[in-house]
Amino acid sequence: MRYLLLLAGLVLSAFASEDPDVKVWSRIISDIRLEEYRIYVRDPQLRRLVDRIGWIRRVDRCSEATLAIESREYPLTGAECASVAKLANDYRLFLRDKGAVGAFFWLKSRPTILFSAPRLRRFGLEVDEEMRQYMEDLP
Amino acid sequence: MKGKFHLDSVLKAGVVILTLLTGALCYLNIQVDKTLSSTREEMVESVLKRYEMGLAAARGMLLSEAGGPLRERLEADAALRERLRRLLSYFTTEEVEHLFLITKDGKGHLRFLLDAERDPSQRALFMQRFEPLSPVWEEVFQSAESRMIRHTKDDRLWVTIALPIVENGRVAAVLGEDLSALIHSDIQGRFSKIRKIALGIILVMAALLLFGYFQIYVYFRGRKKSFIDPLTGAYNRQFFYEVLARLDYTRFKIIIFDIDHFKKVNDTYGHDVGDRVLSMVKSRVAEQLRETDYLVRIGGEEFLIFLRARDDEEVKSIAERIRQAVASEPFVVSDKALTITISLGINTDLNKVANIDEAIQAADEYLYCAKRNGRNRVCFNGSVVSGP
Repeated sequence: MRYLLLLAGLVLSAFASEDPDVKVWSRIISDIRLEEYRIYVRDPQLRRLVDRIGWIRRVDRCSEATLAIESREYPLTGAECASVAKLANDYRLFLRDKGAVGAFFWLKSRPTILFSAPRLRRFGLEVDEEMRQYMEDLP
Repeated sequence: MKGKFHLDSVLKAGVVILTLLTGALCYLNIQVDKTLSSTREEMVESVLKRYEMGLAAARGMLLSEAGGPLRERLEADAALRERLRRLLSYFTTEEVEHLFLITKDGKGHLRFLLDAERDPSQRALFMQRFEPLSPVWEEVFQSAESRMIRHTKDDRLWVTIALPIVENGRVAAVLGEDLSALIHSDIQGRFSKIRKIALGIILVMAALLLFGYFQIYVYFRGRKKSFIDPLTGAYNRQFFYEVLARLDYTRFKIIIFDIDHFKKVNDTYGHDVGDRVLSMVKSRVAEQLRETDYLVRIGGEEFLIFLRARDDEEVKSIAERIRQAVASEPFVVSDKALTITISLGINTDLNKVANIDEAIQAADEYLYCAKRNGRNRVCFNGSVVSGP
């Protein structure tokens, strides 16, 4: 039974590594320099996706998180998440929510990554050199 | 050998024809594949050309409707943007996934000027970043020439056409059109159907060829059997008339022989022993013949040999060799040692006879000459030439 579970785990992780969304989210999150990666996600679909990123610890309360991910369906506009930097999965949400430091979404069947330089500064965050090409001056 | 050649040649001809047909079928298959492949490519090119022309028409519309420098006008006038977006959306069809206009900002980032998307929630906003993975867009801005991008890893997109809009000698914007993978799958589907039909026809033809091979095999197996005497394994009378009689028999010599006192063997020891003797005599005689000679059982205990020889002496020598081979050692059948002899008649002059039957008749007379002179002898031209 243990071997079966191990095998199932390996197969699942193999599938997980093939999902481009998982890869990109993992990369974006890892490229934001944080001391600890405690992620809060309310959107069940995004939660499942985040759970497939092995190295991330998902927390159940936004106040405990160092980073939150919000979606168009589940925006994190409450007071609990006000002091937490967020990533959005939608461009309009990224524009609207001043707490969103970055976004990843698909536009015209193409993956799009964006970061807001002023918002990152406000949260005292930095991103890796590679991500600087996606930087926007979005207040 | 000529008879064997006759048989084999028909068989070979059949096999060669079927092999050629099989080769032709393979060639046909390859040609069908090539033709379909090239036709498909031509169709793809023509479809792409059509969409490129449509895109060029959209470009013409944008330039004429803008009534001035396109990018500057769009940046300045939101109402114009909305009007042009609507007009651009008329150029979209079910096969066009996305149709948009992009430009390059001061930092070199690509940004949307217009997006013909009808669903507002999916529509790119004015000056929203466009982040294609392909470097082709940059090439279009550099070269001012249109480009096509084939998407190989995308399930939804097939080809993107990028068309530059040149104003004052520089590329002000690029019109981009993403064509749906449905177009390609539709083309593939149509050709796949044609391919399947062609393959079906080829398979039917292949099945017919296989049937042909099988028929030839069955025919010749049956035909060969019908020419063989089942008791002795020698050729039979049917072979003699259907094959040997049709040959140019004048080039052959004939030896005819029968087993001396064979009736007595049958009467004394029974037909089973008689049959064994017949079979053994045939074997001993066949051992003295060449591959090119024919041994035919034409009657109960009467055999005929068709052979090619340089001269009469050679035939006499072969006949004597055969006589000795039979007479030299007794035949052991069911613990009985039987002394068996044969009498032989030779006819070497087949030019003088009107037909094969006359040739046999002449040889038969020499056979009776051998019998008359005490059996176990070889008779040629009415006189005994060898014996014990």
